[in-house]
Amino acid sequence: MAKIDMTRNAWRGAMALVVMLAMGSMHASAQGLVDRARMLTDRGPASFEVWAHQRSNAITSATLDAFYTGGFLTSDFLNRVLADHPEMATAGLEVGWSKRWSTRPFIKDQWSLTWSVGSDILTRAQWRQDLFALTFIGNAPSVGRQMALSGTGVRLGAFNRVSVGLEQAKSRQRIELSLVQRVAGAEWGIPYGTFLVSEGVDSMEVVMQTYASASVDNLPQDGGFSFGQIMPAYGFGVSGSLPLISDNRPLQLELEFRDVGVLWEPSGGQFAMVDTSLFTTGLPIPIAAYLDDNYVAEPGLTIQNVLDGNTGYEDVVFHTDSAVGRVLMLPSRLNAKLSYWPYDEFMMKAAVRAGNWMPQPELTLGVGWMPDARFAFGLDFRTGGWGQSRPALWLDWRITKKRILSLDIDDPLGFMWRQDVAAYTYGRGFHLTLRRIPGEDKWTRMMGLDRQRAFGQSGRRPGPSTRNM
Amino acid sequence: MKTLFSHRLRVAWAFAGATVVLGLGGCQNELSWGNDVHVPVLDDRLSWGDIVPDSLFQEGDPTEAVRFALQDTVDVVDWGAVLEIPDTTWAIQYGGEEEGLPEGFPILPGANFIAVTDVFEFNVDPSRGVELEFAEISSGAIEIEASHTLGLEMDMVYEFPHITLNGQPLLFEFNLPSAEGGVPGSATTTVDLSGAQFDFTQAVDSETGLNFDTNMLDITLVAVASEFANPNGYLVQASDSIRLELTFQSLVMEKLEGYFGNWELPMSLGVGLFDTIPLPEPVADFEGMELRLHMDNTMGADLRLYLDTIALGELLVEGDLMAGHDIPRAIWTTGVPETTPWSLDLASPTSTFVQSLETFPDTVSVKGRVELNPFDTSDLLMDRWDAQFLPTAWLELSVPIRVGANGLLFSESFELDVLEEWPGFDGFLHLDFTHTFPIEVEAHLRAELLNGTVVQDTLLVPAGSVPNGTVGGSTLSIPLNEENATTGGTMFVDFAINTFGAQPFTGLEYVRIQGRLEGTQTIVIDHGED
Repeated sequence: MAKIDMTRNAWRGAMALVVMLAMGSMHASAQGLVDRARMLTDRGPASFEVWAHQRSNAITSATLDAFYTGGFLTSDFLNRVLADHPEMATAGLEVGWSKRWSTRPFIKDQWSLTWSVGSDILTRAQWRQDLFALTFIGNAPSVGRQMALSGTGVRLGAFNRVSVGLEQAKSRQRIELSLVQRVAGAEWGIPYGTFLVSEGVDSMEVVMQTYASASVDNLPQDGGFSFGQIMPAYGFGVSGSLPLISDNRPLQLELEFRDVGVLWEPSGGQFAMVDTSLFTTGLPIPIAAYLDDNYVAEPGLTIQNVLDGNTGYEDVVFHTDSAVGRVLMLPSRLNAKLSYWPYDEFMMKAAVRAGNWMPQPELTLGVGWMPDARFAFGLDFRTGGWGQSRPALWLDWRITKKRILSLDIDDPLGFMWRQDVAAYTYGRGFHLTLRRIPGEDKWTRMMGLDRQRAFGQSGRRPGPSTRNM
Repeated sequence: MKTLFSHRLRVAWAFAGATVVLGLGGCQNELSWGNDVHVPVLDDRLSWGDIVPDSLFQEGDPTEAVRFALQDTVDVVDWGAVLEIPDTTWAIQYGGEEEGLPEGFPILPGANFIAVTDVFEFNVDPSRGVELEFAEISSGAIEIEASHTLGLEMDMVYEFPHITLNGQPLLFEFNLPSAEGGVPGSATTTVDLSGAQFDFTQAVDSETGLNFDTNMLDITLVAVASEFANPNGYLVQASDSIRLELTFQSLVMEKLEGYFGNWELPMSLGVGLFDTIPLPEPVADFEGMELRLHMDNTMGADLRLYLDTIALGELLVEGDLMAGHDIPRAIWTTGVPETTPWSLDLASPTSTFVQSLETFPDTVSVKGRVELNPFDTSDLLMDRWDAQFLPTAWLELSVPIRVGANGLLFSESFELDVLEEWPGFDGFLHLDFTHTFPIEVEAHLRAELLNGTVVQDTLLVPAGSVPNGTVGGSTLSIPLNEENATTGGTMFVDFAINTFGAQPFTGLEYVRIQGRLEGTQTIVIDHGED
């Protein structure tokens, strides 16, 4: 408490403007909805979360398993994969953790100081169906057709974040400022690329615009690579939460956004770019050189150049280890969740999750049941996001009076790795949360139980639960 | 917060690193798949212009045969022999076996005790009747040797009044040391004559008092007594002698006037012909061929060319070419020659030259003579020569290319190297041959691998035709796989052509070879534990 008291004035000044602007309007509207329960006197909510998601809209678990297992991939197998391959494939990997604390209310007994730390690793890959075909099938079936490679790319980033903000004790409205460190980042893309071999295989045209960047000041050389060569970047973002509860109906709407801000990438990283095109009907030998002693080579690439390794094509690569600095958007995230309890033991929900480099918003529809005061579970239908529709399971388990352990399993069949039932799943993921809940308001009802009901008692309970989104 | 921040960052680092390793760690085993590749890899086009310079072509109507044209200078005569003036020596001796040094004759200091004026005649061959009036020397020298037994030093003064050097009559002196102790006093010296001009028409015959017309130069020699062993002078002894000698040597003419004489220079010419590609059963139709020998006779002297023999390979050309052919002299005006065009039609239908050429000889050789001044004009003394205007001769050849062949052009074998690191391709290299040459091509390829495998194929490409707008084409498919590439062996190639008689080549023909790789490339992703 002493440490918190010491920081109170400092934060009050630093966050005053943000709080006034962001909370003013929300507070006004929220006031009409939130419960008028008395002020809490115990500590605010806290949580620890760990999550990991891997998903694609094109690569099934069976395909991934085949790639992982290794061996020879038959053309039948690859043609089946190609047949189900969308025009633009995406794949993503999210791994992260987060820890949050909140103090007791200390500003007019209504506002708590809240802060959190966490890390994310995000990977996004997308590729054209034609690129998959060119890589794994070959161009033979596509002779005479221009193959499009545009839009292909991979982006990776590892982020650390520290957030500090204020939370309204009763409404749980929260606003905070985040300092984000991108530990490392790399990116490769093909903004524009085509590949065409004419029918009859007598000409080939390749157009290629591609770039790559990496936040390292030296490329890994023979001497190896050290973490000291990585160039972190820093940025600021705003995060917040706006939960709304109806006084009249068992409805709850939770809006949450995270890391809306920018990142300043310092200069000095690696950047390479190729912007070239090649049209050839084949390279000359040249025959005339063998017949004419005084032959003077025509300008251009020859078979001999290729054999000698002096094609000159290294010149088309622009590379610098002094890339200019730039400003990037942080991988922001937006969650919106609407919950409805037609009965005390039964709930319905709809949720939307967007951002976080996902190619499209992720929509979730589901139902939940609380057969016991300490246990609730549900089944969701989830679609979008990193791709393909799939089921999701969740459960809340009140392990102590103030602590709830929540687990959300995205596409549970995907965890049946190498089982037949998992063959046609497109990913897997989990989100594990351990929360400490401050009791005695309606936010703690249902699994949190209200104050009229003793912990562990059964029976009907009015009002919504507070399961985290 | 600071401690917490640092600690959490370390945790995050470890967490992030472990996740990356787990997530991107790669495949469990080596991964491979086949990639069906169809790509063009080779495209080359060969036309006449690639192997024959444009200057050797005379393109005309594309429906007719193109002409192979050659115009090149030939060195048929060594013109330097015309201008040779042999080394010529003039010598005079007093005393000894000759007269001229009276015994007891006193020589006093400063006395000109020898003064000679003589006429110097060059050793031009009298049988040729050479009459020189004027010469300008580009290089050459006078070498002088003098020796004597007198007991005094002498200053020798030589003067050539009709040799001018740098605009002045040639005059030079040198010191001849005294004889001592029985050793003659002697000296030699050399005078460079580069740029000197000789006027051979001013020397005077002392007997008639008239000028000589040609070949003569006056020389004046004075010996002046300078230093004496005995200050009172010197009395000539009976045994005393003086020998003075000078030689005009290595004279190279820049300009020459007069009459160069009547004589003959040998000439010979040898040119390689069809020695690059031995054609099987060659046939040719050189109707309309032109072959002319041109000469610019810049000399002010008539020439007559005698062609004694013309041989195309082993065949001797017959006909009226074997006569003398007069080449008129140039008319010299203000020192500049004006030549009369002269040429000789070597492909004249009155000789068998063309017929002999159609046998595809490997060489042409010409032997003959060039007669200088076949007409006696010695009285006119109007021959002229200037090294800046050398006579030149050149051959002009224009041959319509109507040739043919039938048979095996070559039969070769090549070692197939072992490719230890084969890229994993299994398919074919298809070579598409297209051409418009009026030639049917048949190629047999046979690869005998060391493992006993024999791969063979025959390529038959029909003839094309530029006038008819037809293209001959065919494809040769060479199997490319690991077994063939890593085994090694020998490739035998037989290449036969047939033109079905002599065909006109238009100069627009081409051969195009396109190579396509079609097959499966096995791509292997190693997990990196090897």
